[in-house]
Amino acid sequence: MPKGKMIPRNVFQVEFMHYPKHQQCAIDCLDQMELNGVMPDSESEEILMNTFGMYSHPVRKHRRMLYWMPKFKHASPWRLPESVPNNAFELAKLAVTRMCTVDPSSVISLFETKDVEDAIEDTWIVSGQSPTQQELLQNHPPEEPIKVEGPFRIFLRDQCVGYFILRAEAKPQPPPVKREYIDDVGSIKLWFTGDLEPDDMALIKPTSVHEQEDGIILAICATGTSGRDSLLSWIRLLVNTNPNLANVPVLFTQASPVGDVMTTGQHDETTSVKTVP
Amino acid sequence: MLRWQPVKFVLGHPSRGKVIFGHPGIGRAMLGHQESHIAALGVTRGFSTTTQDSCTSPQVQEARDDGPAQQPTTLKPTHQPFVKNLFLGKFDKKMLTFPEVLDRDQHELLHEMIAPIERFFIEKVDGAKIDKEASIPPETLQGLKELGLYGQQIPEEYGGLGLGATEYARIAEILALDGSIAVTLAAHQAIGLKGILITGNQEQKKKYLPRLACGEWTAAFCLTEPSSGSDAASIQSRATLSKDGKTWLLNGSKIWISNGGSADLLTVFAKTPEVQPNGEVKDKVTAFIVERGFGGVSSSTPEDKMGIRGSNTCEIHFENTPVPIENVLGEIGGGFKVAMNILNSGRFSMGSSGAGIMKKMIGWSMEHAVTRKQFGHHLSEFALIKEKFARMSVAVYAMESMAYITAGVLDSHKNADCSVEAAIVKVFSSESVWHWGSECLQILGGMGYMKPYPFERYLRDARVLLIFEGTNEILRLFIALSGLQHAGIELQSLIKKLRNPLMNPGFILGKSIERLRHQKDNPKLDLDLAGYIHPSLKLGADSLEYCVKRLQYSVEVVLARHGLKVAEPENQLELARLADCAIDIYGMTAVLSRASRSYCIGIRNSAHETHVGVWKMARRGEVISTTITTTPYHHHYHPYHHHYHPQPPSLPPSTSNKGRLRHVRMSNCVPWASRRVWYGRFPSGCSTDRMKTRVPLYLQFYLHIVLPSAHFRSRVKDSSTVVYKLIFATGCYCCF
Repeated sequence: MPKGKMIPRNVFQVEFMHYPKHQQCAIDCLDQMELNGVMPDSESEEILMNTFGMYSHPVRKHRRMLYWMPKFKHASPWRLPESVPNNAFELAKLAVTRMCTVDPSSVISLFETKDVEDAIEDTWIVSGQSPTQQELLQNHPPEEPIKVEGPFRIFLRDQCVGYFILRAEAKPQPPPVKREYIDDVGSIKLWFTGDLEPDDMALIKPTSVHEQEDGIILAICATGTSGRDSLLSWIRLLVNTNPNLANVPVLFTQASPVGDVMTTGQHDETTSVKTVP
Repeated sequence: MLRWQPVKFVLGHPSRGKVIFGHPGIGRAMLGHQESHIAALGVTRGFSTTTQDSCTSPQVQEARDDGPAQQPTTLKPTHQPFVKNLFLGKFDKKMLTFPEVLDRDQHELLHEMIAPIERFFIEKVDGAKIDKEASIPPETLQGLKELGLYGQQIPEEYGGLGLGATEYARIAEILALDGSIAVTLAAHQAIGLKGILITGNQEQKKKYLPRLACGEWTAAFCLTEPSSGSDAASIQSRATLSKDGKTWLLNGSKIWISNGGSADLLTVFAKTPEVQPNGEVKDKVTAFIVERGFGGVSSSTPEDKMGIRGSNTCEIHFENTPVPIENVLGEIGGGFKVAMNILNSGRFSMGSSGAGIMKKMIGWSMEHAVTRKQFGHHLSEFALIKEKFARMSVAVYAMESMAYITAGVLDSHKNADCSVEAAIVKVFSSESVWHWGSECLQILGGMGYMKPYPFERYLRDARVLLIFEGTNEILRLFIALSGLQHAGIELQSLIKKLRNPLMNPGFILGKSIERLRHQKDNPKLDLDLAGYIHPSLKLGADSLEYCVKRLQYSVEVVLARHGLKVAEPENQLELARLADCAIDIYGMTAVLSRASRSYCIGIRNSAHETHVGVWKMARRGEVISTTITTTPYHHHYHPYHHHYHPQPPSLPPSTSNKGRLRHVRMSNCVPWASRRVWYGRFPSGCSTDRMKTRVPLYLQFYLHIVLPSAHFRSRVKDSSTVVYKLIFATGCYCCF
């Protein structure tokens, strides 16, 4: 960034954003830093001041960032320690706990693939599921398949964790209750005296946070190897707490790993794998 | 064993004497004869607190009378639900005349029955031992059986005492002296066998009631499960019909069942599959009468509890228990209504048992306060202590009044729907007992905290009152939603228009002009409640009228605001406030009616009652402290006790111990009022002989400025201002 050239020298240059595209570029850069939570320091301020002048937009933004970001440091309820552990297991626990806080009754379980018979890989599994999700799985019709999707990425400071989800197809939302129905107070039903029929409960029964537009999330996990066999072990371990899972077909949507050593007997395994209870 | 003697003559005659309202000075004879003389015969009066569509029938038997006229029970008038109509602003003025259910002979009989029970409790019941060992000794239980207390409401033809609601409430007051015994008996008769009484057919009654009445068998009520306490519709116990269709097989487990360990007869609720008209199979709750002898019934060890430790509470498990189809109570699939009716019918007696507990504790604390000296003064001279006593006396008075007015209504009407009133009594009494019991402990100081003394045991026993028989939170919602449900039927079209203001501009304009007065917190008082009670209670009646009008307004506001969504979980705060208002209004009505009656018929201490009543009206009024040297408010006091002989507690003889003269000192909180008000004795009946200064001017001033308007305003204000803002936001001209 050339120094001195882009500093405004007279009133008109100050008024009409001197070198607008350059200033906008700098502002976008600072925006990205703000989004990612990177705080600027005095050196970058020097650079900007020398380039655009003291009263330019990038420098102003820079100063604002310096003022507000320390105040918002503690805004996130999921504060991470200054240096995130390097250990993948700890990171995975942190990540899964974070994601499962959306439902306070979630239970985080730690498994070992050693406990599953016929497991090829030997690794740890961090799995998160709540009783609501267990109920949803319990009521899932056995004909509809559910998918294991992933790996998705979640960043914890500069570390990245890959996680997988167990997802079922989204249920269509019940139609919103009509205004005339709500206006009609002639038939208030006492919901705790057994007067209510299941259709009336539509007004009262909430959809849980796990039922999203793109699908119903039934469980989350992160494994040590993120390999397909560990996911299979995960499903097998989930069957212990979700007996209905044994009846539901589970599809694995992971492609076979690139460059993996395959013996000649094996097929190309991009097709679905059904679990065997 | 004391029993009712059939009364051989009929008091009054079928067409009632006229009750002349507004002339309460006229003696008792006129006021008394409303609908109560049906009670004259030795008619056994069961009662039913039913909702509109319950399938019960009043359990009133034909009298065993030798009198000439058979009094058919259908002469009892019907009763409109009082509190539900309050939500519409309709005030049933008959409630301002306190129901008199017992005539003189029945009254005396009742007191003859009570005396041995009290003696039994004082002499033979060792509460501390029951609490320590967490069990009631069998001799005590045997004594209770001999007194007939196991069959209080069972009709005489089945061997019970055949008591009505009022007598039952009175006895509950005494039984409350020991919490474990009270709960054991209540679990047996108020809920355990009540199902058979209300919903059972003749064979079931003939088969089971005699044994239950004499105490040979104990009953229990099995509804609660690990996963469903308040949510009774979600129970998971199941009953399946056997192949031959003659037995139901019961499977499931119930927890926290009182009398579970010793009960021989259980009223069990389980889900049964029912085929709907459209072919679907749904699970509905059904009630069964299960004998322990059927097999498959097992109970666990008794639970260790905070209070009522003598009562046996345990889990019960059913494993393929065979239940013959004759033992289904009511209809198959109608178990929920049965459960609700059972629970609704026993609730009101909690008011009188709460009053019993409180009176005992007030007696102890009073004794302590007048004897103990600190800083050279007796505790009773300190205003803080006086305030406590004053407020708790008011609460006890209200509890009693509410319980007995509800009992009176149940006794004197056919199929009266008192479910909301009973819930109100329960909520108010349980919370008052817990709060004021704690204050009694406070007065007793360190002594109140020590185990060797009985005080803390009473408080621990009283804690469960807020939890069982319907938690107070659920009951508040029940009170509010029942009222709103009832009101919603009539207000349906009004609310529809209110909720769509842009579509009905003319209507909204007219309505807002009507409501202008409500906006200024000055509703038009056109009910003339003061005309139905003694004139000295006029202030109270006016404030009651104000409260009723404001409740009606706030009901409209709440319904217009939320519509059908008023029942949703997030709107419970407003419902709870409406329920609190309804509770207060019912309390006020009961207190006014009782104070008016006792003043008119000249019961001793009725001036004090008037005082208490009017102060209760003010609700947040200044504390009126009374130094009670003789006993206007001892625990033997009872409104029905016409020949009341005061039993002074063991007090040191004090200055004005003349028996009738009481010395009332205004509290120091009233700085400009340091004069004393002397209350002379007053004759019975005649109101012309008034006392010199009944309600002093400054006191009236006080009551006027601290009306429950303050109480109400804080509750209704939020909703009205928000509605105001809403309407403004829609661009409509309005001031709601």
